[in-house]
Amino acid sequence: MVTLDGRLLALFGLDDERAGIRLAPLCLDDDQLTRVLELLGLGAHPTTALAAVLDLAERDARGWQRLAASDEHLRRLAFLAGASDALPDLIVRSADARAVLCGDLAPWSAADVRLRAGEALAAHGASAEALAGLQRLGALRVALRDLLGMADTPTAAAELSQLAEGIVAAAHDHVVGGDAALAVVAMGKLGGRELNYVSDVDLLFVAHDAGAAAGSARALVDLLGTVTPSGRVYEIDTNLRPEGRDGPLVRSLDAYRSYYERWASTWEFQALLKARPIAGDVELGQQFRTLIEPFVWPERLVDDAVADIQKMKGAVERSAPVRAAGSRQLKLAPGGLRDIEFAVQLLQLVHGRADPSLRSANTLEGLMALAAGGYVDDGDANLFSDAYQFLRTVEHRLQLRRMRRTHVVPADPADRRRLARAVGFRDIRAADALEQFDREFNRVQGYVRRLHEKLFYRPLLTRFGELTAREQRQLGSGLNEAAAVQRLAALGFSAPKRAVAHLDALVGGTTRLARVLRTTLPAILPSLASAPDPDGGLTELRTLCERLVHDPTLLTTLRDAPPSGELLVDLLGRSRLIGEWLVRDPDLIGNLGDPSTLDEPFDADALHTQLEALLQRSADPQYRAQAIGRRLRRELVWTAIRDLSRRTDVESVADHLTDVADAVLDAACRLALTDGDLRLAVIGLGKLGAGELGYASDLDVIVVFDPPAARDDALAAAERVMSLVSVIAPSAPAFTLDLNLRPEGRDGPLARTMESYERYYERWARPWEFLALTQARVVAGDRELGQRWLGAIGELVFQTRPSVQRLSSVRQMKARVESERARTRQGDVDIKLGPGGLSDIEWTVQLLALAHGGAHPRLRPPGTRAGLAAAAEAGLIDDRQHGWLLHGWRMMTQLRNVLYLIGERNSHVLRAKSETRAHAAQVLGYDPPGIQRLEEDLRRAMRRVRNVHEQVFY
Amino acid sequence: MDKQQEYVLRTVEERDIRFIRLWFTDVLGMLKSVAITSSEVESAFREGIGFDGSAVDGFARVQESDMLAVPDATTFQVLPWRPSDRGVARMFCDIFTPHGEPFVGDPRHVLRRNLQRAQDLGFTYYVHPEIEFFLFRSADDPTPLDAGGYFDLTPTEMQSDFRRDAIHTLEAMGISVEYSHHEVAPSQHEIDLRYADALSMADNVMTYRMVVKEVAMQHGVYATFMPKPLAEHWGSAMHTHVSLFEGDTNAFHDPDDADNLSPVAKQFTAGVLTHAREITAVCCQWVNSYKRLSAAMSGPFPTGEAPVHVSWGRNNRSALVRVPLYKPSKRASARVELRAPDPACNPYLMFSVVLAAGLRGIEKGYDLPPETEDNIFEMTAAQRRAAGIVSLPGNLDEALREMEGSELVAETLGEHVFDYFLRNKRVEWDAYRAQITPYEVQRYLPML
Repeated sequence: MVTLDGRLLALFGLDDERAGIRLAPLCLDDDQLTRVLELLGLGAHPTTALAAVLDLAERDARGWQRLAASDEHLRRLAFLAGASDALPDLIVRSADARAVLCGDLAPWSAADVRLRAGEALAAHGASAEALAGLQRLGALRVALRDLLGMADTPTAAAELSQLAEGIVAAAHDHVVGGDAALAVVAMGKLGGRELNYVSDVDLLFVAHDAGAAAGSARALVDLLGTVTPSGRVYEIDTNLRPEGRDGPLVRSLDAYRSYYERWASTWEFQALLKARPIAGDVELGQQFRTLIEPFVWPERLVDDAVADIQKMKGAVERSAPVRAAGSRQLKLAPGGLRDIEFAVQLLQLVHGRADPSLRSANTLEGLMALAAGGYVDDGDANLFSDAYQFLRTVEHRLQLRRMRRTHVVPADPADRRRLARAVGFRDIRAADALEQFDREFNRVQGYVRRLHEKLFYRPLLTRFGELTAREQRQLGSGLNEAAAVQRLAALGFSAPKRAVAHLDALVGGTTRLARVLRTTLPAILPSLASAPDPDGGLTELRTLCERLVHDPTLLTTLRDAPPSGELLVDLLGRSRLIGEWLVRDPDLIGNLGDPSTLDEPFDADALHTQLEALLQRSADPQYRAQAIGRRLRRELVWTAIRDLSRRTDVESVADHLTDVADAVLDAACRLALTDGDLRLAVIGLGKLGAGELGYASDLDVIVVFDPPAARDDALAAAERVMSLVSVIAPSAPAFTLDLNLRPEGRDGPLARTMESYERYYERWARPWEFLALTQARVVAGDRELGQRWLGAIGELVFQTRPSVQRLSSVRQMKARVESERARTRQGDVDIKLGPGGLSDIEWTVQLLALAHGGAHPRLRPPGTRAGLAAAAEAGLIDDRQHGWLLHGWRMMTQLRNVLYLIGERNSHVLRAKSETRAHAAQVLGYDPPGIQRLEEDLRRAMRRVRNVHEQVFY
Repeated sequence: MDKQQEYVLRTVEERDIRFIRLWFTDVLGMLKSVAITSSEVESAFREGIGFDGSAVDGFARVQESDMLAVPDATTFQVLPWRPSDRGVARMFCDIFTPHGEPFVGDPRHVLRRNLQRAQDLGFTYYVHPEIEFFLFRSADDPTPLDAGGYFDLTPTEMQSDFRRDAIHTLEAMGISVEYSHHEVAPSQHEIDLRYADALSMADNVMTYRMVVKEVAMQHGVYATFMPKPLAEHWGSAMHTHVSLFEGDTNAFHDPDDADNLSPVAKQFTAGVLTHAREITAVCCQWVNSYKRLSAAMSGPFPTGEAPVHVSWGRNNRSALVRVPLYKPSKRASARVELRAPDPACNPYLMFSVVLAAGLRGIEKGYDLPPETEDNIFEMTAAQRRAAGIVSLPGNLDEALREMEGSELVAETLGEHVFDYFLRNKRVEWDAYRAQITPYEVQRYLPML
């Protein structure tokens, strides 16, 4: 009967009852058992350790007795089993492995390995099995050093690399005859001395006589790649060679040179960054190194090279493993190892040409060299280095578990808990190991994602004078101008010199704002660099900062809320108007503080309550009008911001802008009308009536009043409304009041009575004037009067059987408008008046309303969208035509809004300029350059609209 | 790809090629050529050769007329009719915008895009055209050569010499010839190319037209692909056999079907028939094309077997689509033959619209109407109506109207090419309408 501590047994999932039977094979007394179990319980996964020793005791009782005799060896096994299933298994099966476990754990150099491997090959008749066995023992040795804390992760990676080097060298010695000099060059992780427990070994072969050496190289690859009972020695990958798997395995120096001169693409040079001769002819290897130097570090970086590298990274992030495993992908996910390696390599390629100290093949060394040279910030480099080591440690522990190549953190919590413990987290009262691991993992990924970009930008801003001594200590010396220009060009600025000047201006000086910018710009510039117009955005940012240099809102927004800073520069890089608007209304910058408010739906009620309060204030009308104007302008800018950041759709924008315009008119009416008998109603026509305003739309209205006797008052009030609107209207020149659709146009009175309108429309109106009236809507003033007007005029507009003459007059008018339309310049596209433009849609809908509104009351309410739906319902257009017109309306309305926001003077015309088109396309969400795709979509939409227009309208 | 380019550079060096012609095709199907020296080839592969697109029909983009022609190394061929030392070679090009995107107005890109769609559905598209043409004394003298003893050789000897040389030249350029013979009309010839994938074949058709004209010139005669040069004789067609393969399997073949036609073949044919009127403007793009496409078997101007009626049949030469018989052992040769296209079309665009119409039939599962076994030319109009047989457009104007309303063609060609093609052809039609033809003068002047 065993009497052991219950808590100790529980560690191994045992209870008193089962313990006796389970532990009997160990042949130990209670005291010994307690000692053994205590030692085995030290590791992260005691049950695995116990299973291993039970297995061993059964297979080899003597071996077990020897192992059990040493506390130290049991402790080693416990730690090994904490991280790995595969290695304890090896210990059980192999006496050699037990010798490693119980032996001294001094590191093996590459030369040591080469010697041992050579001996093993000699002893075992040259079999791959001998090499594989040695490789496994070598890896076990490194794993033990790693898990016992004798080697940190970078050291372990370096030792794994030495192991590989030694084995490759021994294999080389073995296969190569004396006649054919061959140099073996390591690439990838081995080249960088940062091999994993299980990784591909990337090799290139160089020879004086490629033909003669080909056999040796093939034999070497075959030897290392032979499948033995314990697997291949290494997975050898030779596909980084010129032409990949299609190219010859071995090339001469000249052949390499001519390939690199002619054919190699950017990524191949990036790969050569890691090239390192590891075996074979030393002199030849050195010559190869010399040979590739000018290719990896050319005098001048080809313009596209950096862009190529960035594109490759984008492609990696979207690749299959990332989509499948998402953020659990250690290597490829955003914020993963590849991000770090990529960032370091990019900076090495950009700056290493001028500065040879940066040319290390090793990621961490490269990073530290960049920091030492002032190319990245010291603090950033330290954080990055910590993150890299953490992720590599996780990767190592993950691979140790089954000695498989994997880069995905397991989804299963039990597996992940084991990993967490293997990495070194322990349950503490506040959080168990798993929670701590998950938190740390997310945190590391998160800051790598952000830091990754800061790394590029921060040194741009620290190269200037005016830094305080403390800042200089913090930020280091920064980049010189040439390096800064290169880097900005690499980051996507098309006028990098000017960009450097802007940055100088932004962060130079002793103002508080400049000091804040010095620390915050690195975080927010990446958003600007990926916006459609980085150069324009940077100019706007500079203007904004110069104008608002003492404005506390801008300062605190930039200082305290990085996301809002990012949002700010992204918006500036999309639309220059936003910059102007924000200068006029700096308070709005503060509103960017919480980007989540951008996702809140528009609250019309809240707006009206606030406006009501402003209207009720006892100040003079002019003052109140200004206050209301400011409030509404904010609403407008807010809509534009939501629009530009693609948080809303074109229909909501139209609705929202109409709400703002309605509020403008409502406020103007109420401020203009003093007490008295006079009743005034404002009827909206055109886009206002239709409820489909764009940023640049006029407000078409006509005004009706009652009683007839108040004519003079009414005209004066209408004048006042006009002048108040010009005060309130938020974005001149848009939102200008336009009364020219009134009877008799400019010559007519500004306001009329009901009767006067009726008389006019009955007797004098030209037929096409009724077309405009189809979009009439009461927008402000006296609702009852307005509705009465609508009812009366509606009778005249929507006749059950409209005269042929009326309809044909409308058609003729449209034909005239088309023929008299100002010619756009060749290549420009007029999305309003051109064939298939918005006006084709509007005239079609309005004509249908005019022709059939009498018979189908649902055609009467204003609005293009409502009219199209009603026309389809009434069978006047088929579903396809409905779809085409609606899509055309959406596409062109949105394009018109975008053109306005990006600062096109005439937002109805898509100019032929390719910069404009590229900019508009990107704001609309096309992948750059997107010009041809935008053109294709627009052409198709307009052709279809025209097609329907010709069938339905004429 | 790299290897292919390297091969080109090596060949240029070894064979002492001095100039390389970069070929591409405008929207109307005319071959355009930019010559570069051998030293420029390498940079042409890397960066392309810039040229002014506004000078090319259908390439004008006002905002940026700069275009890049990037040679396709797989199309490298030495021109056999040029001197063998210090020779000249050609490559077809893909056209790119300055932003590095394939240019949507490049007919080769249009075809590539449509082939990609076929590939997405698992199909490879094979084409085999029979191209007819006439030989005349010169471009302004359409006298058939057979008509008189103008030459030292008898006309027949001269013409068979010509055919032999033309075939030899085509073969020397890597274009396999299937068959060649003297056609029905005097001075008319046909050389059939062995089937190939549609992109290679479109390139081959462009080369073929060039070679035939070049060799004719060497023989002191003029070759024309004008669809109907002689009112009293049959015109020149480009009967086009098409098939779809899934991997190595001919997707048109079905041993279990009574006609050995797979559902894919039937749906494809139904698609071509359904959209036949819409795609005619692309298959037959000139005013003159419709002179060929009028069906008169008798009378003063018999036009022969022009397939103007939208129908299909097996051995029915009057049908628009013919399903040729083939030996059961040759299952790979299952195909359908479209008889409307003429040799003056743009092959890239023609292959594209035929493919798109056929794929539409497959995607939407169109039903194939019954086969027409009677000779349609002998049917009355009422009989044809009863059989549900419509006719192809009677002239370019009608064909353009059909095309204008076609979403299928717009999608297939892309809006840029669609728009340009229609505008250009509308101008052509209007110019033609303004002509007073000799026929009118001869007939009306004495009488009216």
